[in-house]
Amino acid sequence: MKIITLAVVASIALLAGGCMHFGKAPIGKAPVVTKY
Amino acid sequence: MRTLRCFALSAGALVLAALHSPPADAARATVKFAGYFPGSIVVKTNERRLYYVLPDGKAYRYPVGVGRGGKSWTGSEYIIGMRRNPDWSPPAEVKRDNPHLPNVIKGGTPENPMGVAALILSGGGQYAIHGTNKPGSVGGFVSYGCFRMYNEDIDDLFGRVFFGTPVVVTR
Repeated sequence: MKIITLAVVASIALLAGGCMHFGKAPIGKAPVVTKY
Repeated sequence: MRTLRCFALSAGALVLAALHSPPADAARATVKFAGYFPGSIVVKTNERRLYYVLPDGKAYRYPVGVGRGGKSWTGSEYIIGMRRNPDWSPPAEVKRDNPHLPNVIKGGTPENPMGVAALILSGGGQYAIHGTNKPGSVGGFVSYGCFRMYNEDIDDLFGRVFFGTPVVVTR
């Protein structure tokens, strides 16, 4: 039971971490072309 | 004579402090706010305020500069790009109005109107929530339709949002 709980918690943490990582901006070089 | 000099110096110091201190509403405020999903951004253009919705019926409220006459808009978009200290190029409409502008302004320079960060919005990518090189304009009807924040505020907001964060713009 403990192992299953640990596995679920670890999966959620990994998923959240992945989402946060991929949700953040890459470092871009091209200028932004927006109004201001 | 000494008292007069002291008074003059104090008055001068007060004037200088007033000129250099940020506006009273520059800092983020926490307010009651309901009706939108936590994690989303809501801009109320008539208020010239941007809200970052929190999960407990509250929101962080920031002052923003919004579109001037004829440049204002409403709608539901989301963040498609996040950039810190971006280089900036004026789009055709801005270049037409300001032909003296260079084709590219380097990020982090005093001439760059994006300030320290930009959150680019869907809907063609022509609008952004960004910092500023003219802090005195924040809180007014001043822009081409973008949302202009104090640099410390866009820096704070930047750390809270992600690609895909919903942005609702209302009157």
